[in-house]
Amino acid sequence: MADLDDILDHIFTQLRKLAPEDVEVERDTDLVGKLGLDSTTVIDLVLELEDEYDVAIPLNALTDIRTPEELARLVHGLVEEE
Amino acid sequence: MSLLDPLRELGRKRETLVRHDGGVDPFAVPVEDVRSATEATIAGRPVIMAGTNNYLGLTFDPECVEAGKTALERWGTGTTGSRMANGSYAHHLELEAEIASFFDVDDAMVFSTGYQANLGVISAVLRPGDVAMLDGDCHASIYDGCMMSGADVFRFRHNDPDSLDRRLGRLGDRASRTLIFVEGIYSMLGDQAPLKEIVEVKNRHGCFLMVDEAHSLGVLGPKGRGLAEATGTEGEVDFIVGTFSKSLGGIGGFCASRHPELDMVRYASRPYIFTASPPPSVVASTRTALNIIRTRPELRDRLWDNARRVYSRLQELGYRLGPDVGPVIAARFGSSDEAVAFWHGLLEHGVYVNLMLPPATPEGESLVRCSVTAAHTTEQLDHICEAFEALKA
Repeated sequence: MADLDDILDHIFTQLRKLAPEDVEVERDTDLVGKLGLDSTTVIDLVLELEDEYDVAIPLNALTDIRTPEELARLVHGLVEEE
Repeated sequence: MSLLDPLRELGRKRETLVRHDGGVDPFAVPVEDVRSATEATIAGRPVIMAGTNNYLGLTFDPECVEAGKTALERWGTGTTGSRMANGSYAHHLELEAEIASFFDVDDAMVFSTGYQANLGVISAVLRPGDVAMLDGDCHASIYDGCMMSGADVFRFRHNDPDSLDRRLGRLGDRASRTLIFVEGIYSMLGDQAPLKEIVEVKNRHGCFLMVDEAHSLGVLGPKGRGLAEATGTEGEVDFIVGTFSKSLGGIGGFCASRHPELDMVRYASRPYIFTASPPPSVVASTRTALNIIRTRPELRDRLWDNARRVYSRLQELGYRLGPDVGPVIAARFGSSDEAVAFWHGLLEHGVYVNLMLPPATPEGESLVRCSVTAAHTTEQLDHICEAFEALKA
């Protein structure tokens, strides 16, 4: 089973493909404000995470997610429920 | 950050779209005059309208105009009330019966807009604990209705039945409380849902299915009923929603269903209850337009001839288009700057189209969305293609 750090590393890898080159992606980087991700990009990221970890991530849960760490915790919680 | 800062930021983004030489804002185009289903005046210039949803060209159809005028004089300008109160006139009920008959189902409901039809049906059918499973390219009204319902909302990859299958598999026994959403023709790229394959997955998991035929009503199927008719899957679709503001040339929305429980949506749907019903003139012109879909299939043939003509020409010119031939023909651009400049160029050549930018677009692409109607003449279609050709050079 994937642990939190593995999931966070995977999210970092995905985000670095999407983030502007001059922006460092950290655990607490603001996904929208700092990385400039729009809603379509976030949903694409969610689809990728669902298939990677075989979980179902409700879009409703994303309203409270601001950072890579929060997203990783959400995915990790769903993995543990399985 | 102040309350108004996000709006100020939007204002800064908008500035990048407007030319400062007196140009038009692509998202606030003043249509100064409309002379026919295909001709208008924008920024003092006569243009061919190639960015509407007027697929059958019925907005100026003499029968529809006359029906609207007669109803306006006989029944007044508006109902001033909800369908639940004083806003259900005989015409609203007759239109609902005609829609049910058209789709060969027992019941249909009429809403004030297509947006409200989705909002109203979805928010009444789904509840917290249920599941909404949307195609990734579904319209905002579907997404908003799902969020309003309180159900858990998931997306599957656009037009990918395997992606749907995997996600339904993860839901386990919640699949039986899942409503799947797809569209007959997607508004941005003009592609069609692989409905037979979606139905096969839906049946295997025991889910429900809603098909939004907003852009396919009057366009697809031997009788113009949409993609479900065209693919022979009508008996497998639980809810069909659509709008009067595209091929029917008015405004309003509907839901048709083989489930008698649809009638109870009237008592549970806030977007149905807490708004005024469509005005009598619009209901009358819509009824006439619906009858035209039934009785004048040659309009559909003309539409498809026109769509094929423009699609193949733009493809020959080397534009990257949506995957399916149809009345919505979207040219894809790599950057929003390129698409904005192209949009202004078309307007200067006397052609109005729609400009679509991320995040409202699939795959983050910038689109110039051209739409073809049955009312376009061959000369107008050639003018549109020549403008695309001139800008390609």
